[in-house]
Amino acid sequence: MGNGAETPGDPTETSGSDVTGRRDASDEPRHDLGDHADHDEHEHRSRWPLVAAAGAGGLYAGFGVYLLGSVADVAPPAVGIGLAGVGAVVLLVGLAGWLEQAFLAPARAGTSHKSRESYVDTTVLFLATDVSTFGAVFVYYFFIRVGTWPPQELPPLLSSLVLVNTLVLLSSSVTLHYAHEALDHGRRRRFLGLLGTTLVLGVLFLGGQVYEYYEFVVREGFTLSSGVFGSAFFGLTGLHGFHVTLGVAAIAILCWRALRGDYGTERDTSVATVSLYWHFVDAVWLFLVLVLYGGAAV
Amino acid sequence: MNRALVEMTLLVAILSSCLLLVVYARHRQASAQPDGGYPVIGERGVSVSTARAEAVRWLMTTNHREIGLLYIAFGTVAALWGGVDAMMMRTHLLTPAADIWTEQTYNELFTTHGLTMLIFFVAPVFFGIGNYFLPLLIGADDMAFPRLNAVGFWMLPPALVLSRLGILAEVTGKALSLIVPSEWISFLLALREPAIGWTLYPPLSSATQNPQINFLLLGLHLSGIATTIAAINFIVTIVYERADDVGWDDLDMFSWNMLVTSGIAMFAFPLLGSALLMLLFDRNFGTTFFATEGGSPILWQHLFWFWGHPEVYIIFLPAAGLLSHILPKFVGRRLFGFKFVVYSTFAIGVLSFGVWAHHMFTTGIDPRVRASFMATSVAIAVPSAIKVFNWITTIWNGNVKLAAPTILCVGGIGTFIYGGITGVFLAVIPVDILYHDTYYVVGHFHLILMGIIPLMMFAASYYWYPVLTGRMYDRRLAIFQSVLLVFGSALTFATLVVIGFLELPRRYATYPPEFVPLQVVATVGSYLIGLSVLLWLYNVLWSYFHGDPIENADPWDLKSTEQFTREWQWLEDKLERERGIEPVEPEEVRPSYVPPTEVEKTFSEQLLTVGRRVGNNAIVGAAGGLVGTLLMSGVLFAAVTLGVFDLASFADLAGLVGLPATVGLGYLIFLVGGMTVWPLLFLTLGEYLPGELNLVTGLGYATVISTGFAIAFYAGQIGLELVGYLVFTLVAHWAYGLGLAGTLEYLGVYRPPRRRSYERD
Ligand code: HEM
Ligand SMILES: [Cu+2]
Repeated sequence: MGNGAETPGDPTETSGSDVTGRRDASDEPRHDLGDHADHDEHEHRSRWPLVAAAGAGGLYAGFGVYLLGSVADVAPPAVGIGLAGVGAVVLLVGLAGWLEQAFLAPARAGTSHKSRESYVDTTVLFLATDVSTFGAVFVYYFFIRVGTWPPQELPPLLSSLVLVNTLVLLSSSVTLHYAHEALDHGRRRRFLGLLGTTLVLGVLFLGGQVYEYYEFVVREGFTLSSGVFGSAFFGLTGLHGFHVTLGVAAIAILCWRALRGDYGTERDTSVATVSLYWHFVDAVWLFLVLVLYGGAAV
Repeated sequence: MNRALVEMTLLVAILSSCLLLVVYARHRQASAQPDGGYPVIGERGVSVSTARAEAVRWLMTTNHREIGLLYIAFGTVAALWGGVDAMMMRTHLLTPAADIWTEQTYNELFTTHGLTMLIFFVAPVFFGIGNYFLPLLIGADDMAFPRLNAVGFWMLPPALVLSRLGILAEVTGKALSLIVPSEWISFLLALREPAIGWTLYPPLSSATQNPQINFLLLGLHLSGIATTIAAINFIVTIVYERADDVGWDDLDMFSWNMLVTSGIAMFAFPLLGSALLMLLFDRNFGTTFFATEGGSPILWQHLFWFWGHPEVYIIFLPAAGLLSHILPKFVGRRLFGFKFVVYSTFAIGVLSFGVWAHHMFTTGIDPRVRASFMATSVAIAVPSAIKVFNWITTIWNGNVKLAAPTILCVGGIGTFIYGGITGVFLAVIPVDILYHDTYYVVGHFHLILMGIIPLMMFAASYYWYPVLTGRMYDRRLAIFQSVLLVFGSALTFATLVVIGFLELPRRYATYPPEFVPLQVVATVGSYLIGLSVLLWLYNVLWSYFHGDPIENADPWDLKSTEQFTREWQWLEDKLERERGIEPVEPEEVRPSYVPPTEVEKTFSEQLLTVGRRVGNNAIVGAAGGLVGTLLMSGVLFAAVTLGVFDLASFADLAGLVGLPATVGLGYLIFLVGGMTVWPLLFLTLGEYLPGELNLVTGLGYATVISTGFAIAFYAGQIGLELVGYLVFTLVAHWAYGLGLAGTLEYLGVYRPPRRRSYERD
């Protein structure tokens, strides 16, 4: 798959009587062409979904095989890790191809026919699903917080590191917001500067998280399997960290596209959607610090 | 017999028979051509290059209709797979001992059956139908995100493979071990189908070694992502891609249901996803999410059912939407109470998140929590009941046509009522404590899961067959298949309810011998279901090549009842474009609905109208009631002289309302009641139910209320006296009914409020 030999958009290959016509084309009857011809054929073919899904399948299968190796000891774990790695790369390639084909190219060419509003609302829907995703792990934490509390293994949670990290993430939200404002007012340099700052702050936050993990795991011996709190702590911060990583990647793409001059006052859809996501991740962090760090320490 | 081999052999046999059938049908079609018999639709030569082009087309398509078909095909394969599990389970249960397969095998079967059906069959098929038809119904070009749509679909096959890797690996391993040394393929032989129940309860699911459980959890997680993606796509499509002339008021019932289903799925599946990964971590990385010392197994049950109960509505609502969409077409009446059906759908969507703990009544959770979940669970039956009543009322006085979809719709309503009512009983804590984990529960949920969901899929496949293929299926076979399916489902699962009443626990491979007859009945019923599924497969595959080509785009005569909706319009345009078929106009149009011609009125005017209406009704009703009650008194008087009716009952009546217990006063109350309560009730029913109020309705009404009377006025008669009492009660009521209805008809009041003009001329 993914080999470039097929031209995904060749209408002659696919015409025939299994017609994929549409209502809006009905006023001009065509008997000979099939009705691919009266539509943008490339809209009906894409190899990227298949690539992305195959990558996802490989990633999951690889993870399973890795567990098979490490737990049941019937296959070397490296096989699984390798498969998962390949899967992940293929998945990323598929996603990149899809993003490019579905959004970036039409946006550049100015042929995107969807409203900005629909993208923003889609992001909101996605974030709503994320509330559920986080919800399950938070519910676990609440269960143990009111249940078998306190656990043996509480590490020193509230430290200057958390404070600094929180400030870093908060200010990244602020810088991103003002970057967007600057874009709206057509102040390109300010936009670029603030966007870049946001990226740096995001990376800093991740660095802080890694450092904290290092402190806990190596110095304190507090790990995922240390006990009831370890599960909650690493479960929640891990899930959150994963989201931040995705967010940093998204902001990096924003930066790249901003440098290429893809954005303008009226062309800010992806800035708007990524901001929404970033603010959400920020809000989750605040909640997390409050209930997980704060709530466990008191 | 090895279970894995049997199962894969059966599945492969079914699938390859389908393939052979297609090849043969196609061959026959090609040779039938020269005599000019068949206009050929979808004919394609078979050569390497066309095959390649076809493969590329189906693998890379982002067209909503093609993806829809892919979804449907995938779902059908999953259904057959899960169906083979089911047939093997029922076969296993033919004997009380576990002597056909082992206990372990039985446990594996019900685990994989449940998961395959719920996750990989139902939602994909409905999403497929939604993909194909929803954009047509709302006039959209495509789904909002066509490529994302394809991503969502293509994640499902790997998810299914991962989830059922156990049996695939086992069979592959068995085959390979014939040629290679078994240590090479030890990883294949290490996998076994899980036997932990579809609900995956820890600690069993976290303690069981079988590494396939990891693959299962991963596969389910992947499918959950796919479902979430599809759900978001449907919502955005409905909100943003509607054609300009499709406002919210014009949205069809199927789309409404898909909207709510997607809304539920959007919250339910991500939560399940996290829970699955948490379980995976518990199994492999020493976390304590569901360990007794950590979150406890109960937490799993909370999370699982917080997804699980909404899930049952995720898969029920599209079926309800299809029923609401299709039924009106075959009874020639618009869906009754459209708005309320939409509201009920939303009510279900919201309530479905508030009832999950009714699956946990026996786990020892706090009784106060249980009580509140009992209340919400009983309440959720209300919106379902609203739907049922609206469906029944839609049929009422309609012009019912005999066709496979009609049978499936009516049958579906019937089994749904049965399934729903058994559910309401289960929602009552003391009842549930008795019946939890008995066959009663299995009967309950299958009456819905089997009794309406696949029925509506079949109904949709028949109803839209001309849109999908340009041909008509074999109608006689379809009618037979539908009857067989409805009958088979009712037989199987009603029998399971009975077995449950006798308190046989579920999920056991063995049972006491006295249950053999009932178990055999259930198994026979399930074979009927299996047979009907195969008949359906045969019908749709064969008719694709050999069905009668449709002559116009209105094979169901929808135009004549003004129900020619957009997907048919689309077909009409397509036929005209491709085959030059001109649109037809029906000779005579009989509107399925005449909107009330009420003009806007102020509130006080409305109040006045209502007041006047009530006043009129009261006067006329009193007159009718007087006539009826006097006639009735005559009959009762005869009964008194014969000694089968006790006048003292009237005295009791007076005593009941706090008056001195004399016969005269009692009779007066009886007379007043006969002139007010009962006529008004009759008129009210006439107001809100479609259909005429006439002598026949009067008789029916009187018959119904006579049962209440018979109980209330019973004065200890026995033997022949009792018979006489009952007969006279009935006759007296008939006299009442005739008197009441006759008077009303004579006075000419009750014309039904929205009399359909076409019915009079
Ligand atoms: C009228 C509304 C309904 C009510 C009040 C209701 C109530 C219940 C209750 C209380 C149980 C738990 C029984 C037990 O395990 O002890 C149950 C089980 C179940 N119900 Fe329903 N139900 C309703 C509708 C539905 C619908 C529409 C579906 C599916 C489309 C469904 C599918 C199921 C399933 C799959 C189970 C069994 C789960 C298992 O333990 O494996 N129910 N229902
Ligand atoms: Cu439930």
